[in-house]
Amino acid sequence: MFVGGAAGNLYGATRATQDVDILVRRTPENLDRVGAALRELNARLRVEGFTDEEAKALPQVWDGITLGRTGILTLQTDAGQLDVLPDIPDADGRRLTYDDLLPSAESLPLRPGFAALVASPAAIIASKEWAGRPKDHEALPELRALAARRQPPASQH
Amino acid sequence: MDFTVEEVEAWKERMRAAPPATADDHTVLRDGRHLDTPEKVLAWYVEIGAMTSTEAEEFLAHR
Repeated sequence: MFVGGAAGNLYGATRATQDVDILVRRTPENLDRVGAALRELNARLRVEGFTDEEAKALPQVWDGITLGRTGILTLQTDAGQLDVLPDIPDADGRRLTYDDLLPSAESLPLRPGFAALVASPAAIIASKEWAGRPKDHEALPELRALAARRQPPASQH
Repeated sequence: MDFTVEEVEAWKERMRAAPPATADDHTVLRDGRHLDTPEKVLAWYVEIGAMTSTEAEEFLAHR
């Protein structure tokens, strides 16, 4: 499920984001599937002090067990930067998981035959309000305007 | 909302040109450890290797 700035982009926000933030369901079976996708994307850790070439030289360790030991995972992949998150905060700071957000999430078409599951505009706004960084404050007016114009989706789940 | 292929490609291109990681942009393990330096990352890889080795030995012992 898309969250963060990239999710805002999928609703029409124009503010540039450098990475894609996703939430995944953290069952062992699903983490194994996520691991397979990360290996396919040639994912490597993103950390200050490592060049991407150095990070690429490290072994591919992405399997369900290893992913289960991570919380926030910041990656560089062949398709761009990807952050895999365990949860995002609501307006009160309570941590919401994939399953918490699923009932209000929306399925948005990316291209013919391919849709993306995206956290609701309200959830994205709440997480940015809680995060409170300058870049979050900058993004909020446009996200609020988009959310106000948006019709509630018909039930999709 | 419809997204065109051009928009998706432009988005991907922007992310490919992303700047390098910064100090607040790093992995955090479930036990709270922050992998915010190359040394900590390498130590974690050693730890994963040791755990994998132990699991393999246990598997072989019970095979």
